[in-house]
This record gives sequence, structure tokens and C-alpha cells, in this order.
Amino acid sequence: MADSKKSSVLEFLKFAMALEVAFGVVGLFWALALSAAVVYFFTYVLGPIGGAVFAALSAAYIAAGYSTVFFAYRAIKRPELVRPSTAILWSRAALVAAVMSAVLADFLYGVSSALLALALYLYAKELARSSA
Amino acid sequence: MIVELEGCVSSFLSAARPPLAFYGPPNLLAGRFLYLHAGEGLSEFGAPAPEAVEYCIGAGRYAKKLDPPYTLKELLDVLPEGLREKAKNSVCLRRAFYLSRVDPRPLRSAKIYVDDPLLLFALEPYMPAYAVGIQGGRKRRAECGADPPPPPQLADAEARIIPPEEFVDFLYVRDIFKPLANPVRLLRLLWRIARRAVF
Repeated sequence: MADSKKSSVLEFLKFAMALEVAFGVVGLFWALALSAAVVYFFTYVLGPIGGAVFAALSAAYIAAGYSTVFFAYRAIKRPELVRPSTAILWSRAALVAAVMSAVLADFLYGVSSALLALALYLYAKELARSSA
Repeated sequence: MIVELEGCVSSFLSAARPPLAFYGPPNLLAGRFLYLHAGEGLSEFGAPAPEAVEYCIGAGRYAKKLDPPYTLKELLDVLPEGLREKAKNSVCLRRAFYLSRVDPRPLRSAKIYVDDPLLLFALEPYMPAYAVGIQGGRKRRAECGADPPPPPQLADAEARIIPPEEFVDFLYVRDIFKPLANPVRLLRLLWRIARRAVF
């Protein structure tokens, strides 16, 4: 019973990670292009400060997004690297990325990040249960 | 940070019962105290403080490398060969794992006696600790006024130990906004994320 539950959580985690990698790469390329355009526009309209502020914000978003995608990719390759502490840390990072994507109307990537956050959270609980 | 108290406080505390530590500012010593103890139990999942691991098997600096929560297996992986066998057989370490999941939330506002070092190490991150009778980092001398405080009344209290799954919830929501309020912590978190993203 416990084993089947663990394997179903693991399958869910793999599914969420695959979605994250797929939508993340597409969504973040889109975000890179969009932010480059908007930074150009802001610099033109508001001056260099406005462009720099937007560039910093989008750089933070893209860094957070790509790091969760890289984590998901690495975790698919070597699932044994996902420990309870890393699962909690990355689940929170994915949650932040999901909220930022929702704010930026990148819904596909937002939903996949939210799914990844949920899957990692469930997986951390599963690891806790099995090692108690 | 454990502050060792001496002077008036230590004399009046030892009159009641020799404690290892208590929490709460020394000027509020009089009145009702909880004598905190935890039920029996051993575990292999939790977040023992490096001090607790140092106390049990003398491997605190290896435990510092791990982020909470971790399992005994993860700790065994970072230990050198000689300590690994010792850790594998240590009942104290399993007790430290168990006690590290103590629920500190109901205790924030209470004045507490603890005479179990492992429980002290588990509670210490959540509250400033004043210790009597063990070696602390700093010393502080508490002077008695004209009226020395009356001896405290000790009420027994049982510490709640959080089950592993609930402990994950506890760690998940505990400081989700704290990194944003503290820039140094935020930078450290970003650094950790960046370091792990390289594969």
C-alpha cells in the first residue's frame, strides 16, 4: 500500500517535472524576448532607470524560472538526488516562479510550476513518512 | 546563543531543582514555570541541531552541511568512515532526531525549565536560551534586588513531538516570507539555488 502510494507520488513528480521542462523552456524563451522588447521600450520612454529596473525584475524572474527548470531536468535524470530538504527548497522556488508567471500572464508555465511545487511538496511528505 | 546565568538567579534556581536551562528573561523569573519533558521515542527523520549531533557523536561540523529536515541516512552519507559506525549504533542520535521535531509554537510565551540537553538544543533556535550549569558562550550576571524573587512553581508539561509529515508542513510554511525580509538570507538562498542549478 505504502509502496504503491510512493510510486504514484513519484510518477506525479516525474509528470510535473516533464511539464516544467517543456513549458519552462518555451515560456522562458518567450519571456526573454518579451522582456528584451519591453526593456527597450521602457528605456526609450522612461529613460535608462526605468529600463534598468524592468531588466533587473525580468532577470530575477528568468533566473528563478530557469533554475527550477534545470532542477527538474536534473531530478528526472537522477531522482535519488531529491532529498526532503531539497524538495522543500525547490517546491518554494517553484511556487514563487508560478506566482510570477501568473502575474506575467504566462499561464501554461505558471500551471506547470504550481504542479511541480505541489508534486515536490507531496514527495517531501512521502519521503518523511517512509523514513520516520 | 546560550547565555549562562550566574549570581542570584543560579542560586535561587538550584534551590528549586538543578535545571539545565530555562527560557525567559531573568527579570521575569518569579511565578509559574513549565518543567518540560518529552515522551519516549526514537526516530530517523528530523532536523537535529549541529550542537545535538556534536553532543551525541562529536560530529557537529558534518551536520552543519545538511539543510533541515534530513534523515539518518543522509547524515551517514556525509560522515567519515570512523564516525559512521558510531552514528549507526547511536541511540542518542535517534533520540536527537525524535526531539528535533518538538513543536515550539505553544511554548513561545512560556517560561520553561529543561533538563534534557537534546530538548534544549531542539528548542534553542526558536528562543533565546539562558542556561545554568552547562558551559555557555557568554556569561551574564544577574543581581538580586532588595526582594529576591520567590522560588518558582514548577508545573509539569509534556512537549508535543510533531509527526514527520506534519513536520514537513511546519518547515514549509514556517519561514516562507522570512527570506524576503532579510536580504542576507535572501542572497544566501539565491546562492544555494544557483549552486545547485549547475549540474
